[in-house]
Amino acid sequence: MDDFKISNNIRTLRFMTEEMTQQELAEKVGVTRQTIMSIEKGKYSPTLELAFKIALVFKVPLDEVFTYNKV
Amino acid sequence: MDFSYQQKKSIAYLTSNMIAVIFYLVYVFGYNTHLALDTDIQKRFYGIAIIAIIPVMIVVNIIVHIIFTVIHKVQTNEMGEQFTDELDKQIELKANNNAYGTFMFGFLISMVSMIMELPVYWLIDLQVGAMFTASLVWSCSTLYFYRNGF
Repeated sequence: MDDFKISNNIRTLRFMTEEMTQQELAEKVGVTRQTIMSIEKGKYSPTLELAFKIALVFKVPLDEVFTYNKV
Repeated sequence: MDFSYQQKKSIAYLTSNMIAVIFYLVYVFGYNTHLALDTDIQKRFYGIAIIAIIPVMIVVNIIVHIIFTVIHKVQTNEMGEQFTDELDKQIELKANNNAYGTFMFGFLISMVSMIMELPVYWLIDLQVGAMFTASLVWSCSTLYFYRNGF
């Protein structure tokens, strides 16, 4: 099977949501800033629950936040 | 190099573990030169050393973390994270797994020393060494996972 990678648009979405900081997003979804930083850099794939929470904060569908692409 | 609160905390753990190792090495090799091999006195000495290292480790950990918290507060004017989330828990699990593997490897090596009929201090030194190495592996693993992900 081909290799796939989860990528995300959190940085763009933060920018478009009144330039929300990582800390503000972290507080809204109940995680630490380190976790948001790791997700943004693609070093950590969040749980489904956290992924949905992030999508809810930005009021967009999940697939607008995370995408599953071929490497 | 930019370090997050969690990465700095891992470095603080690493520092306190290394201080505890130094305490143990100074105590054991400073007072005991393995001259009286396999005697009851030596067994008693090791028993005391291992029991004594536990409160030393706790005190060193507390002191290092107080210093770390103060430095972090002065540098960033933040108190740091007061809770653990899913990333912290996953990293802790992976680090525990690495530390457990390291300790078991050291434990098995210490069993080999028994098969080879080496003096009893080999067994104890190897097991204590495995314990300290495991704690160092734990700290290094958390630092690695926070920096590089998984």
